[in-house]
Amino acid sequence: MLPLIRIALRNVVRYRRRSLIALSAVFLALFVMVCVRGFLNGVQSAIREGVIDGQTGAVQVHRKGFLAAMQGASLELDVPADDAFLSRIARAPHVTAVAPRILFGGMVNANDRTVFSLMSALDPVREAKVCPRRFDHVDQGALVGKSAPDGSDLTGALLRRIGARIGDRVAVLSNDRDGVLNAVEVGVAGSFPEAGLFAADKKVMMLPLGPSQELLRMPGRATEIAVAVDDLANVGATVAALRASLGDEYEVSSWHDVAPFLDDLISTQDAVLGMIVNTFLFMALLGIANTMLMSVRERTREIGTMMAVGVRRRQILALFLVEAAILGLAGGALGLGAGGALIHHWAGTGLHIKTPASSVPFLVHPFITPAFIARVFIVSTVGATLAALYPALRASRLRPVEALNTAA
Amino acid sequence: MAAREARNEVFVELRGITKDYQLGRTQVVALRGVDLSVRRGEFTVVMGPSGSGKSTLLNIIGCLDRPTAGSYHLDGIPVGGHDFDKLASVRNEKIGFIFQSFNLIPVLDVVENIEFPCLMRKRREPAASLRARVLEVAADVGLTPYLKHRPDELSGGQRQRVAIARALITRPELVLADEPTANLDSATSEQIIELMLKLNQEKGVTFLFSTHDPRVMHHARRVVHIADGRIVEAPAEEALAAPASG
Repeated sequence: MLPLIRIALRNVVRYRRRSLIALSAVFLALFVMVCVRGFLNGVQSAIREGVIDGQTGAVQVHRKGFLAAMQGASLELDVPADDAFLSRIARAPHVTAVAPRILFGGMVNANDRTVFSLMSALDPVREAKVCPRRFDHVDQGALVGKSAPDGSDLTGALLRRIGARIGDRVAVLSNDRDGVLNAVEVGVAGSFPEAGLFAADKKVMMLPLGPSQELLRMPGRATEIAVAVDDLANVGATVAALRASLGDEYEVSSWHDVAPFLDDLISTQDAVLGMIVNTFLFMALLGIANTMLMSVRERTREIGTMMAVGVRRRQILALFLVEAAILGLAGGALGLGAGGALIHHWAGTGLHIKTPASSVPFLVHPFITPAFIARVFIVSTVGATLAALYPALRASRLRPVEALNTAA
Repeated sequence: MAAREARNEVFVELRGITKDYQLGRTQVVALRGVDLSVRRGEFTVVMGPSGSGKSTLLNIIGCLDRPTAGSYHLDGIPVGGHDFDKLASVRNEKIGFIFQSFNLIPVLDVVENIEFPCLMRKRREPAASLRARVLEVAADVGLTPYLKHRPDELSGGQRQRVAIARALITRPELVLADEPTANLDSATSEQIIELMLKLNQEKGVTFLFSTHDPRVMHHARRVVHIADGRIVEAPAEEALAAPASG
């Protein structure tokens, strides 16, 4: 096999221009594959982290039936928010933090203007541990509960609608668990840009848990316990342990359950990416097949000579397959190297991406995994070899006498 | 005495060989019932006009092509039923080829071209012993100063010497040469013929040529005339009656 590899290598160098074209096609395909995959990994990771670290947490604990009834009267389906219950959850494997929340609808009033709002009542200290990115976008004033125990954050749009400013006092109105309308006064501590395309996203308010429990008449209670884990790969184990530990009275959900659109989004993106990169790869492999066909045509007499001196069919086959594999290997290595270097650079600097749905750009750190590199490398090499199968078979099936009589 | 007997053994035996093939819509009959025997140690020339069937005859003897009808025994073995790989082994072990256009492998240097047929064998010779033989054969054909040269760095005569060395490295019992001097100038042709004669006489290698070159015919001890796919005259080698030394 070694003499054939030597000949194959030298032929790749000998037909420099043709090899360069085939090599460039593989290089380009793999460069695009790595860059697109790396970029998409970064985007998907940023979206996932944005949702998990900024909104949902990795795991959520609710009273049984809460998720199904969330659009309705969800305050009745509450859970304890005392230290004993929170500690019980915190003892589950891989749990790093827990944070009680109450999600409810209400109205916010100031200057004789009243606007419906979606309220999130939070324990700011615990929430920062479970969803450290929740307060990232507060760009004016202070965080919930930081400057004052009742300090709240509202979207800029909500503040404008009620004509309030940071430092003002606003009234929050809502029905309590028994349906009685109550009100509580809180301070405006800060504001954050409205995200999303929908009106609901523009009417969001975050307020401390204590005043909210007073407003809703549910002291020591919450509607949701958000849980952080040490590694998202351990979510399944934590969910299983919590289900066993808390029993049927509660429902324990992973971020996959509470934000299923994330999995859909990622799989749609992956499908589109797959189509793009497979098209690129297919074109590159067509280039290899064409290169090898031309090579067989030009070297027909050389093949005849080899057959005349006793080279067997499978050795001729191997010669052309090895040549194609070298092109796939070299083009693949170069494409992976260049793409990998660019991704490595972007991973360090980060890319600021701004989407139409968000007024705040998010930082993407592209990355590729060793498994992806290995898979792509194998696919390019094996693909190039398979692409050369037809030309190689043609070469190996030549009749020696006809091959020798072909014009050089 | 044993050497004399060995030299007299029939190595190539063709009986009733016919070869026809389709050329477009025309059925071409290249050989029509050819009978020919070649003994070991002969230095034989096949001559005839263009299209007479010389190359077809050599291709069949060299196991590069199959006859349409007739029987072919090489070294006493009928090779007609051999498959491609078996024929490749026969070519590799028993036959050396010298082509009009040299047919060297362009990406290999002189040493690599010479040793190439041996490297393609199933059972390979130890590298050191093969390299020693390559250097010896290269010296025999006067290529020692050019061992690291690629074919495109050699003259026509030097390339044909490489082809001869490649044909000899497998220690073949028969060397087939199709117009070996056609692409060479007179002086180089003379040197190449002298070289092949020397190898025939000193090493007892059987040579079978097709050529138009009168100088080759002048040196031949047996000339086989072929016309319209038939052997018209195939005298036995004069030298067999008075064998060459060596």
